[in-house]
Amino acid sequence: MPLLQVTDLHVSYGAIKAVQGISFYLNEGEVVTLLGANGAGKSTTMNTIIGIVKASQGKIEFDGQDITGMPSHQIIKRGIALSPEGRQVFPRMSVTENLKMGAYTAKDSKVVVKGIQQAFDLFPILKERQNQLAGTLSGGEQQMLAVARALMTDPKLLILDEPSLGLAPIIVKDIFALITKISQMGITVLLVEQNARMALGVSDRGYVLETGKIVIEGRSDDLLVNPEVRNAYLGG
Amino acid sequence: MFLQQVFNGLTIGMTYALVAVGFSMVYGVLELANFANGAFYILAPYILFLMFSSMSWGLLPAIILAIIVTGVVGALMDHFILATIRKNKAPVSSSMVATLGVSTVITNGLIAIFGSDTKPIPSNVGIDSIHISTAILTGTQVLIIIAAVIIMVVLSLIVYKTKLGSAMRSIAQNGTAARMMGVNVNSIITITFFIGSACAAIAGAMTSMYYGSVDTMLYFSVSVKTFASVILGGIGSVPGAMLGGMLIGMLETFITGYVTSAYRDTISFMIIIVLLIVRPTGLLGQKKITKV
Repeated sequence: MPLLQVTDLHVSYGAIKAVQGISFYLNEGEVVTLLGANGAGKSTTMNTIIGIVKASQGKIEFDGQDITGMPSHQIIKRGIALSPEGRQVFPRMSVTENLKMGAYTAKDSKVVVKGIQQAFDLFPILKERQNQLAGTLSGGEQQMLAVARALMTDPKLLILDEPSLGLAPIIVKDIFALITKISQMGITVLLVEQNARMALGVSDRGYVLETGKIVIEGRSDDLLVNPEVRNAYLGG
Repeated sequence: MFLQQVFNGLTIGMTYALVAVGFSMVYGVLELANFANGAFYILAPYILFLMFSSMSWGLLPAIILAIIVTGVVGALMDHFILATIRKNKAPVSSSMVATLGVSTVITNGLIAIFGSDTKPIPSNVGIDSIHISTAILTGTQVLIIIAAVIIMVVLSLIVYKTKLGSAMRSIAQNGTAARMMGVNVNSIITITFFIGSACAAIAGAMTSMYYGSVDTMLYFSVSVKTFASVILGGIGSVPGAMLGGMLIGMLETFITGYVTSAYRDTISFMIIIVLLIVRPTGLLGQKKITKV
């Protein structure tokens, strides 16, 4: 049984149908990429999984339970963490406070201590900046903070929404190397990206989303050589 | 004379600071100007009047009841009215109009029940006056200053040192991200309303004890002073609201004492107008950091 199973998901904003009946799944331990251009419905799908946006139709199951329509705070408690598009760090909180917010649902203060330690091990720069306000960090540092914050509670599923967006190429490389590292920690990763080559390079499988529908799916190795994918996302 | 003005200004300033802090906390989580805050401020002394004078409760139990009931009314307003408006994704201005409606219901309800005449409120709190040279700090003033300082310290600790406070600040800075962290945004907002309304209640109860009376006209004057305090201190800033309230109280008392009492309530308006032109972020307000 997959860890996450999305079946025939529809999401609308008023009259606009952002997601029109998509289905996909993630097995435990996998890294899966969701590819698509701007406006394809990727972030909407992620926000629906985490309960920020409500589905108009369809089903989302996580860890054997139906989580469709549940409020976010209950979904997060079940072990899904999101590193959102555009980082969304708390600008007037320090790096440490931001990390603590990542463990908001944790009851045990040991989880917080352990999470911060892990974050500082993964991202030594965050340790150097621990008392700095998150709003004053560089884009790359904010992205690291957003990922570290999502990792605070050792989630079963980590969703990374466009982690490479707006970052310098050298930092993008670091971010993708990190995804492999997170996967080795035993965390299932759902990666949403426009950077197809990098994303497929680190993932097991992939889906291509176009105007709210999944048009291609398959193993990442196959997608990398798929002529349609090559034309649309890999520059031929 | 000067020292007496300082004492009086400090007392009034403390009550303004308390209302302003509650108002500011709510503003912080919702960017909503809660017009019902002034109504909560006068609701408490009426409950105090009812319990103490008509039902002959003790002063302390009557005060505690007034604070709790007012806090609950604030929380219920959020839970039943404002939360529904948020759920329907209506703009904040709809919520603002709703709070204006609630304030009208409360103030007119109070007039309907108690009449529009001034009601006496006990002002003997059982604390001796303190005489310092020619100036007198009355027992009520001592109570107001001590209680306000304690409450503001506790509120600061809640906002900056507790998980509840972190949740409130996270909502203020990025509501969507707060939800992504698992913050139950609606219940935190409702709790914030409870605290904000209870602050207004404490200030209202203490001010009415200081003046020895309450009437519904207080609603208007306290609302204006709350706005002046938060604009002066910096909208949404908790320490700013405390500072703003203190300064408005002091300024008002000194101008009344040394210049004329005719312009007492006008001072707040002048401060609002000048600040909005010269320094719209207030003394301690922050500009929003927007970085992509």
